[in-house]
Amino acid sequence: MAGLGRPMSERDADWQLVERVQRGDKRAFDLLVSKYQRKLFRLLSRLIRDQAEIEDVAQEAFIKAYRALPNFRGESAFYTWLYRIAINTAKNYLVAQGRRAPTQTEADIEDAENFEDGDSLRTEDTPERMLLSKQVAEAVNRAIERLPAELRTAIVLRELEGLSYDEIAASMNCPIGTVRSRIFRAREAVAEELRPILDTSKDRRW
Amino acid sequence: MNPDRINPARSAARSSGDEVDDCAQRLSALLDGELDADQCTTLVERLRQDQAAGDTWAMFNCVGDAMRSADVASFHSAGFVARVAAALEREPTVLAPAGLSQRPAVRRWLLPGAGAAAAAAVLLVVGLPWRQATLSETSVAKAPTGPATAVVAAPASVIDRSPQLERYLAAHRELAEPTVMPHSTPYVRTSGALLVQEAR
Repeated sequence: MAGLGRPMSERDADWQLVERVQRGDKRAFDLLVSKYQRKLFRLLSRLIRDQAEIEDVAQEAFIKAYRALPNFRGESAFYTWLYRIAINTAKNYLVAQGRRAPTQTEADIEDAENFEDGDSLRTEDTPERMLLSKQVAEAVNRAIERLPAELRTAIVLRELEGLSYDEIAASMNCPIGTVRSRIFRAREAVAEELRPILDTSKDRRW
Repeated sequence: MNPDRINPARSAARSSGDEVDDCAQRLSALLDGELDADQCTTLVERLRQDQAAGDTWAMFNCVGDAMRSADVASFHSAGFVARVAAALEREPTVLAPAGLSQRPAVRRWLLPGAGAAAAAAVLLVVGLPWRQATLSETSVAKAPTGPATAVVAAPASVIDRSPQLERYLAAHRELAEPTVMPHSTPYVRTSGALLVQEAR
């Protein structure tokens, strides 16, 4: 279930948070970090192998993005803008370390910006990550299969097809409030399956 | 008979649970860009104090990532947001000029034809009474996100601006480097620079 188009309202949602940060609300930036950390980690993993280094560079990229946010005018999607900052941060990091990014990977990453999550890129994952990825996929499939049909349809139309609540309501012939509730309940159900796998116990901060 | 009347503790617990569910449902809608600005404000305010709400937001994002790509979701790192937030605490708070996102795009080709408007802008700024400048600075201090607005939003009764001048001001805002200094006034600085050049 990969790489389908993100909806226009996704961009609107990001912009809502970006505007808050631009007005001085640092906490709103936390929400963007929470949202995009995994995508950024995976992007950086094309350039950097070590997980600790990836997180260091990702943190630096987020801080640079925060500093530059007054200049961000929403001409591109927030994540596209963020990815560019991350790639430049990674390149600078590698240069400072006396290393350089593999040429082919650099080109691939630049291209990947036009293909959402860059799922077409070859990965060089560790066995541990491949196992985790397999477990995540199984958990998601298990959760989705268990969902009542109306919840499954709503979450798939939203997360994979990128439809807005309006469009889903029209498609499922039900009120928007029902769509909102169904998507929420479906997310809760999938989250329950994912929590034990991803080590996101509730005593940890985000 | 309503059981909550017999057991107030259970009623309170259920009420609290409903509130958590309601908050989580609104977070879900925020993630989908389906909340209006006021609801968004309320929710972000709540996230300042509510740890569980932050965790819910993180998990809902993770669900979306996992559905689209298990590979992306496998890069989850618990505690990373807290780490970045701690680093951000050491950063000065950034501010963008008010209305940055709403203003219409102004083409650079408009600028060469704006010479007359530039001169008018110089007159505008220099001609303003000092008292008015002081008022502008006061309004900037009260609303730090509006340094540009404070100058542009002079009373209409004092300044009759032409559409040309409006375009110049908009173009200037478009090209000026946004500042994080709430009390700086870019227009005044620019006009001052022009005056120095003219004096030479």
